[in-house]
Amino acid sequence: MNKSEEAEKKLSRLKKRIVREKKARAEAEKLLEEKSREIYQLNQKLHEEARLLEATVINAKDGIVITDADFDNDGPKIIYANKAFSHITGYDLDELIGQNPKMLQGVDTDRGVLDNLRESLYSGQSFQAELKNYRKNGIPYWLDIGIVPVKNDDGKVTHFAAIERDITQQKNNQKELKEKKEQAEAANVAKSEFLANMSHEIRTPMNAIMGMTEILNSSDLNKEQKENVEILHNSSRDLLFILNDILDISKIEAGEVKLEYVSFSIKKVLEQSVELFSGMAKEKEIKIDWKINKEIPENIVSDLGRIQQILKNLISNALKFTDKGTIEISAKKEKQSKNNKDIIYVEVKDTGIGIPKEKINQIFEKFMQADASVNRKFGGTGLGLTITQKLVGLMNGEIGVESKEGQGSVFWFTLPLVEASKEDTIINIMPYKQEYNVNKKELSKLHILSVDDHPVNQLFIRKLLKKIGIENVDQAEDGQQALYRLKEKDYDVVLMDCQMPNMDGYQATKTIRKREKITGKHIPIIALTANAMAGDKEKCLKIGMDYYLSKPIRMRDIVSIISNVIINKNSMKS
Amino acid sequence: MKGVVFTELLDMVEGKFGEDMVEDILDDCELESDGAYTTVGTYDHKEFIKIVTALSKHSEISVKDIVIQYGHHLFFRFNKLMPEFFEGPKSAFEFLESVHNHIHVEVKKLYPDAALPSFKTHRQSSDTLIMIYTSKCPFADFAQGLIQGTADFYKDDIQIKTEDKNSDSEFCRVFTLTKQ
Ligand code: HEM
Repeated sequence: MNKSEEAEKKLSRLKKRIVREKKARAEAEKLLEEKSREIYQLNQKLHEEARLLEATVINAKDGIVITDADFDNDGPKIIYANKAFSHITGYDLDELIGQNPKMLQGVDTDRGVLDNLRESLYSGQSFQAELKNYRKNGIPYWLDIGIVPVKNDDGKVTHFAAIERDITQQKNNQKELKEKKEQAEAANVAKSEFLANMSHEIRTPMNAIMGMTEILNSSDLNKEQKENVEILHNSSRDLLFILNDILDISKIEAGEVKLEYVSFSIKKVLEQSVELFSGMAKEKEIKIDWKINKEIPENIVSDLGRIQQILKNLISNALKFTDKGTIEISAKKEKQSKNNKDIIYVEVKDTGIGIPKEKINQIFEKFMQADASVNRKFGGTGLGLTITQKLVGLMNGEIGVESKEGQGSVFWFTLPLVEASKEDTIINIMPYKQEYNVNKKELSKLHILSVDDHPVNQLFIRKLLKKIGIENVDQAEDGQQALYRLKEKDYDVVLMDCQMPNMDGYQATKTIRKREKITGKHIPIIALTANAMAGDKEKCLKIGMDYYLSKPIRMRDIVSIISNVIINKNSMKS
Repeated sequence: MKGVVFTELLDMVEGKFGEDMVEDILDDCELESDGAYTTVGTYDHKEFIKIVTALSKHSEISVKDIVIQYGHHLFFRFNKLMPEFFEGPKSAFEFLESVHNHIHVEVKKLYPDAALPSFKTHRQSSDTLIMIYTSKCPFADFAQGLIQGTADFYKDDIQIKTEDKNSDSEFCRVFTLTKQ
């Protein structure tokens, strides 16, 4: 290759190279332009986002503060705080930057919460709590604080961001609310106490009125007098029922009702409840019946008094709204669908007037009866079903009703079914009515101690006992006197009022039973109580009383119980 | 493949074999880009293979050796171009361990269209590092050169054993690196 050829070649290479470089340059410029545009747009977007975020953070009503995550040298320090944060804390921005947020804590700041906070932050977790901090001027404030760790791409925590809300006002409101609530509760307690006291006060004379009318009724009266006395008697009884209902509902609503679990035969309860209404049913020519599935164990554990009350309410309700046909009470065992537990299912089915569809949902509401006119026609407070529903609810059961207008209703309830164990003491349920062949002679030999603080009651009992042939009646005004009397003389029966000054009937009974542990005797004690509230009966029996009579005391009840005492005594002898 | 790989390659060729070599090999290849590379552009990786194949013909060095040498060379160039990646790691092993989870991650942010390989590393003992290369592209030799460059840069005496485990879908090479 000669020189010129070589030069030629070199030149052509250089030309090629220039072409290449030019092309590369053009492409590079194009790419650069594209990239610049892209960066510009990204920048715009970023700027916009930053603007929004910044505006949000700066103007937020909540305090926002960002710290580094440097746990060495004095811990994390504030690198940013917004206006609200300055406002809440009372510190200027330049007083905050570079400081550890613990500068805001003080004597009353909860150490436990701070420990949790530190632990969360150390482990890179977010944290939320309520905390008491202090403003620059030393005044404490409550804040709801949420702290989140800010991580970089590698997952390393670089900062912490905290949002704080001043909840001092809320806290104060809460406190105020709590105080108000406590006041209201106290007022409510006072109210129900007043109600209970008042109804007790009313009941005592009411009982006397009823007792006296009964005695009056059994004396020689002409027809018109007899009718008048009966009206007197029935009206006082109605008044007493209303009183009891009001007392019941107010106690339930005040949460004062405690369940008393005892073991008893549910079969006997059904039997007794039906018997209680058999007289009334007979009068209305209604057939009343009960049946129990044999799957149900003989003895169960539940609140006897409440079950009796529920049954009584449902049966009397059925009786009230049924003019002809039947009332059927039946009980069977079922399994609760949600947890497969055993329950007892009881229904009271009647062929009465039924409940209109549009009323059925409100039937358990207070003072609701299917029809306002019902109230006038049938009487009652309209509280019975409400009480029943609340009692069932208290006992963890369910209650419901199905009804067809004109054809009748089925009221049902369920209760947890717990079988009594062999060791349980079974409460003896007395048949409501029992015919006893006790002769007057035997009764006349009895010595009875009547314990009651009320002179009218004492008079009434004395008269009542005299009517059935018992003349030997001593009196005691309170528990203490009763104990004294019992030391001096042997009695066959004690009639014990429950509520008395100095020493009440419960305390006296406890003492008597304690003494008897040494003597080995057992004197029958019959509790007399004006508290018709369910649960009282169990209380009496648990404490050691043998029988229970709730006021107003009726002649046939006292006869049947005293007869029972004699029969038991005789059977012990033989 | 990013343009920087091409521009650095051609620069290396020019440095080692002279300007004319660059022209000769580009003349030999049919390139869509006409060899007009810019660092920021992106080109078909087959052009890289064409170029090194042509270079092998002209220089009578095997393609494998060229690519390994280029990798070695490029490592030292990276050290000049992007010193920030060399601030953390204190040894060849530490550096190699940072490639996948740190260096290439940053590279990807810088060049979103970069096609980067995957590396799994684990230390079998204090002296042995297993590094597994997998990629859609056949650049295991290039990786090997970069690894050698790393060892030399940190003045660590490292023996490199390789085992290819290519599959139908991927190229794969297991590097067993043992400190001597
Ligand atoms: C500072 C150090 C490093 C930088 C800045 C870097 C950067 C890059 C860049 C820009 C590419 C081109 C991507 C593309 O073609 O789209 C690449 C590819 C690649 N890098 Fe790195 N790299 C570094 C270290 C390493 C090391 C130490 C290894 C080997 C252990 C390695 C192995 C590879 C391989 C094998 C490819 C080719 C692509 C493939 O096989 O799929 N790199 N790297």
